[in-house]
Amino acid sequence: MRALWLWLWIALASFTMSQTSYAEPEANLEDYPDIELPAPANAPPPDAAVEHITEHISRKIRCPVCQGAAISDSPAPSAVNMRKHVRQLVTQGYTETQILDYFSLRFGDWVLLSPKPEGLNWIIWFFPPILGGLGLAWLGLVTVRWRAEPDVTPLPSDTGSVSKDPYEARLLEELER
Amino acid sequence: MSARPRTNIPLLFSGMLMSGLIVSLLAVGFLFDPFALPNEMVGKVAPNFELKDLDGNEVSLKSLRGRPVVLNFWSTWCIPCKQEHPVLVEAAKLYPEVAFLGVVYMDEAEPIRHYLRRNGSSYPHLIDPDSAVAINYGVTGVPESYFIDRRGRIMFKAAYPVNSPFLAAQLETLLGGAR
Amino acid sequence: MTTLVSCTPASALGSMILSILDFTGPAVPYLGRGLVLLALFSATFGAVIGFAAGIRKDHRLTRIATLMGGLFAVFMLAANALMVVALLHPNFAVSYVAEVGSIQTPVYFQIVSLWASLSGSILLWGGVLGLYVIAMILAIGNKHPDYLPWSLGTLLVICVFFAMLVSSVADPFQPTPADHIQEMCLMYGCANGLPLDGPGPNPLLQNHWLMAFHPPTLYLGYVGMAAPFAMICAALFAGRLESGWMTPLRRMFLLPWAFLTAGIIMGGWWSFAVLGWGGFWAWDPVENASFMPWLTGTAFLHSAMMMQRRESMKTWTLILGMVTFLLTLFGTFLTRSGVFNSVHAFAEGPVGPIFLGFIAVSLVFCVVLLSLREHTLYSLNGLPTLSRRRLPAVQNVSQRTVILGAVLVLVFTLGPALAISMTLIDSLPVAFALPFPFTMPRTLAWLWLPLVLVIPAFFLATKNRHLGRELTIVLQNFAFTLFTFVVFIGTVYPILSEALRGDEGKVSVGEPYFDKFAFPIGMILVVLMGIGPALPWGRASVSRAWTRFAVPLIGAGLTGVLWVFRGGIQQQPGIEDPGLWFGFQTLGNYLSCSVSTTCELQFSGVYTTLALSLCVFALLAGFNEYLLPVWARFRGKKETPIVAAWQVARKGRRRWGGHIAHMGMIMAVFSMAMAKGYRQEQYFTTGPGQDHEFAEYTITFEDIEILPEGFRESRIGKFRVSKQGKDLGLFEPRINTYKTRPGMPLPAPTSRVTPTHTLQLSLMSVEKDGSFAYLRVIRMPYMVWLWIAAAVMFFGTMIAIWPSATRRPQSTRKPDEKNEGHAA
Repeated sequence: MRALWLWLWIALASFTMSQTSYAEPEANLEDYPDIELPAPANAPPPDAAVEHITEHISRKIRCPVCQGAAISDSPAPSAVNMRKHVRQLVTQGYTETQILDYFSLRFGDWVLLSPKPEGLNWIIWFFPPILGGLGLAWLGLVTVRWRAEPDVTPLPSDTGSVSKDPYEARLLEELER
Repeated sequence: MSARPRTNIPLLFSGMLMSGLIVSLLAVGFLFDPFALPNEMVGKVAPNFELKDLDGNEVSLKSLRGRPVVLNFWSTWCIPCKQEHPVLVEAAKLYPEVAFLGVVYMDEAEPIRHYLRRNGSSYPHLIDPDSAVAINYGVTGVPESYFIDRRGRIMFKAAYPVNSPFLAAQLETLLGGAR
Repeated sequence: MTTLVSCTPASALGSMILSILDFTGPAVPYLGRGLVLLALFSATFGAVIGFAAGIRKDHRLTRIATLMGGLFAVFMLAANALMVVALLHPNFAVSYVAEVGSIQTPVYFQIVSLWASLSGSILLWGGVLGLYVIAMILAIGNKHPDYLPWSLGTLLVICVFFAMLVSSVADPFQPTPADHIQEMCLMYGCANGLPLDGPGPNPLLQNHWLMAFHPPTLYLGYVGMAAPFAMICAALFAGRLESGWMTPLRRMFLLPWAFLTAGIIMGGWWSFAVLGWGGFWAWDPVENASFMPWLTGTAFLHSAMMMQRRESMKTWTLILGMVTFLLTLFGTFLTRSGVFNSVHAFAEGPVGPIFLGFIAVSLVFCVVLLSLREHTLYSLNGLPTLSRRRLPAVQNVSQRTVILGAVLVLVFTLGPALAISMTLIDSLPVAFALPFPFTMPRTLAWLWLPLVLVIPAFFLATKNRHLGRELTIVLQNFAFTLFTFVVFIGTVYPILSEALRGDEGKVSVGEPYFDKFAFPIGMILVVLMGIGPALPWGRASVSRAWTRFAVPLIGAGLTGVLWVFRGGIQQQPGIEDPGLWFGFQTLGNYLSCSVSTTCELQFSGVYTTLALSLCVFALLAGFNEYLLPVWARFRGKKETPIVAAWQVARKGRRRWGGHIAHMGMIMAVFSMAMAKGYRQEQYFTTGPGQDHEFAEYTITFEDIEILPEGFRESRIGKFRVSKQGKDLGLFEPRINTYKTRPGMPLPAPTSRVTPTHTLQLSLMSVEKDGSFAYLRVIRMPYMVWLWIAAAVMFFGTMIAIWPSATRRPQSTRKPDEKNEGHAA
């Protein structure tokens, strides 16, 4: 019966995996012989959204003269200028990817606060989730192992209350179950 | 009580392995300067710009294609910039085929004019509003000098004040190098 | 300098003693060095004697070792006191004072200069170690004679290392070299051969009174982790781990843990109130370094609770305890080695490699000790031991395949799905053409993933009927360990990348990376905080568990719904003509936007709403847990609720303290979620008399005042703030320029703190004549509750540490040994 539940779940997972869709190819700046910005990919966003988008993108760009702060957080003049630059690019309609690429082509990948998921950087993106998955699997095994152990009665120190009153002790013990 | 080996060999082995990896990783860290910034723009086409100089004339980088260009970002509040200034002024006179351009980085026109009046100038200095061109070139501080060849590619970037021998060597390369 | 008036030996000796005791004189460096060397000798002697006492089980030797430990503490604390006196004077004959001392610094900041620079901070480290030696001796007392010598030995070895550092490489008591004195005389003037003034401490340390408390608190937490580490090693050395030993171990661990928690949050407070960049945590490498031991420490704390019940967790618990200490060493290394790019880093010279050497030695020591002695952990309390080498034999084939299948599918769907969903917003490489769940937006992934998790968990749980507290503690351990790993790899990856790829491998790992993992792990922990204390040990019935959690679940759901209704989820651009149900409309827009590829709207507050609901769940589950016994006493014994509450608290101090600490943690998570999720910020360039609207406030720039203060010059901008017409007074953010470091002006923001939000004004720049000012304003909702949470957690931990009068102290002393107390 339980095995049936598991096979059902495996079927569900496989079904969802079998659906396909494709990611939209982004304009790739590396294809161009120089690093000038190509035409913007999108139409300019509505005015009210510009500030929000600018802040969102600025959070991901590192201020080169500050110690690790994002340009959205730093009061340094160069950070302020970079923010203005980002805002200008946003109002022209460039996407987040294009803007981040713009900065990394000029300052180095180091200016991005979140390493690009490519090459060696996959380590930091994949290791934690895979470790997490393995950890959960190990947890499953541990709980199976516990089945084989005898039941251990709670020590008084566990419940944190040592009661001299037998009635109350029994009452608390009932509640513990 | 089930028989148990005295030493937990797998733990010992994996522990030593992980310790070794971590310690060697940290030791390798001593070789690098965490505050050094990478030199990203070298080898790339110098981004075009159109800026006005102190007299209001517009200068565009594209128009200088065919001549080597030395692009120097500086300001009056930067002491090393003032140290390298005479070197650049002299070099601009000695190498007329090379186009020297100064770009003002986060400074006002008035102090710049004042400084140039007192210390001489032999090439145009451009005003860069909101540091747009500085950002376009990946400038993080001053002084920074970009050496651009005749084809418009950035051959070298010096993120420090230049001295005469160094500058001469770079200019010779720009002039004598690939046409 | 004293001069000899007559040549009699008595007066010569007298004047020599006088010159040594003259704390203003040039003898101070030598006196200080002498004290440090004495401390070093005591520690070395004590360590050797301690280990000898442990091996030979000799009580006399143990007493000598205890005495040596006490002497180390006395000498180290005396050295610290001497340095403080030298700073107060200031006595520039001492090289450390020549580095950071100044007449112009106010008295309380002169004391603060003790930890202003590297060598002073190591001296402080030694002093705090001394305090913990004493604390550990007091905690163990004479109840655990078998463990005491080993604990002393191990702790004193650590003391030896730091004393060695202070006396050689990072020596603050070095006499100032003559040429340095000459330089200073040129700059500040001279009298009697000593300069009249000095450079003073880093201006950042003088900007705010918090700087007087944050480093010492952090040190009390950080450094103190050495004591429980020593006690863990003692158990391994002694060859057994008894439940009686867990009591002092837990206490000696909770003490530094409380300070570490408070210290970390205080750092956030300082970062927010002083630096004024609009946040409280930057995932700076040094911040991470203090956070990682806290993570493993908290995991250790809970795991230790479980250790008495499940033998299989013993090795893991001890590993956690040891790693906590090792991470404190790593953190020190990080700050002082010059390897990491950090705002806190103050690296000099050979200290880095020496620390790395010590870390290497400690790592090897821990691995070897644990591997060799691990087997001694498993013969306790008469419980039959398990074979750990093999998994329990599974009864039949179908069970085996089921488990194997579960493992495989978990790893290969969960892992990549999590990874992809997290990297989704930040550009997937074009080559990735993935099936549907892996390209679905992050929000939906969060909904889909729990399904993947819940079904096998439920399967396992109902099969094993182990829904009890062990499972939650193990899950909590998993979450904390994963978190530690994420922070570690994020901090260390830039080095790895540069090592393997050279110059083009320079990368930054900052807030966007850490936040992506911190949020889901944090939410898992909040949920566990609610569930864990409410479940009993061992078996629990599923139906019971559901009735326990019904109220919290309903409460959480209601909170979520109400919050969305009142506009918790916001969209840019906003809804035109918002009606009564605009909240749900926004939610609908969000869900439909998540699945479309053409949606232009920007949303905020989604994860905050989720966090809020989970916090409410955890809070209600905790209250539930506390109220039930009170209710039982009220009904059963007819006590009034207040008396019943007091009785429950009094008898379960450890548990009640834990509850309070949990409440504090939930308060902290709530505050962080709200402050980050609904943060508002604006920059103004403003002239005198101009009004600006920001949130519910109106801000008017009025005037500027220049205030010279001796050790600094302040430009004070005066801004009148009013809210809906009601004048709230003049706010005066400053820019401070310190005389000792004129090139480094620092903003000093002002804040208005209310229970619902904190408003902060930060002056970025201002013209001397007051013609214009550049101001930054930030509004952080519920920010103050994070600072309050630190106090709550500290308070709760102190309650948990406090010895309980009703319980008999569990001693590990054998009954046939000479004692005046009672046997365990």
